[in-house]
Amino acid sequence: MNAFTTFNLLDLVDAVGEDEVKQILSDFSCSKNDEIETFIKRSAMEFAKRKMSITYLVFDEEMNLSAIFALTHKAIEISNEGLSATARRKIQRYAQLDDNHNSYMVSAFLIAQFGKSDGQTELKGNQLMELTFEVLEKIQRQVGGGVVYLECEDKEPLLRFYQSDANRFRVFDERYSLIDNTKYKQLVRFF
Amino acid sequence: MATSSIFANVKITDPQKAEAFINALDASANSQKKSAKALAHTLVTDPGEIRKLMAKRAEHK
Repeated sequence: MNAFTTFNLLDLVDAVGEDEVKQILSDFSCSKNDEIETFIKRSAMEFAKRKMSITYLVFDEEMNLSAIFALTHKAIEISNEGLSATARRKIQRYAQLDDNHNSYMVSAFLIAQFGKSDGQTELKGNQLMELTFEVLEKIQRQVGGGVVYLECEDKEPLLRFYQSDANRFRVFDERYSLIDNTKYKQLVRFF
Repeated sequence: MATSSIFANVKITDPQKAEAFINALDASANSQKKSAKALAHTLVTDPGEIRKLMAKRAEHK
């Protein structure tokens, strides 16, 4: 069985220094998705230093960078206005009503980036998602929170992957990004 | 995945979209977990251990 090791990018910087980590990140390639590669090469370090998102780096046994995922936390605000009694009953399992704003604030983790490096065949996508949730469960033990969401391009294979029995995300909305000129599907999961 | 999602706030005011979010969350919570094939995996946070492991990387390069 292949063994994988994951490091928080900031822990890796503390251990071996920023220059070496930048060198490791520069080796990452993901021809299936330019945005992930650009994120790793240009933003991951800066965002981690500014505590905007934390990237985790997954290495194989020979310490090749095999995959990455980036996490942060956000609040999802849901207006109470016009909700059915059934919907109110359901949402109260996951969030508390803020009477001042008449809305529910759902504390959520965001999987901001998620992908494997080119040539990585030993690590399956579902397994990378399990690794991601291993980290999320550790964070959950420290600070609570059970909702996680992500945004992906409106592509059938991606939607099938995230909504599979293994990954259990469900689509709830979509967002059009003017910056990216792209429509993203938004998916949520409880864990 | 979208880097822009880091900066985008999710605020749902349309009752239909709010119900869609709540139903999606509930459906996920009630779905049966099917585990992926087991994987040997370690999250390492100790700097000394990280340095030791990264030295292996230098050996392979």
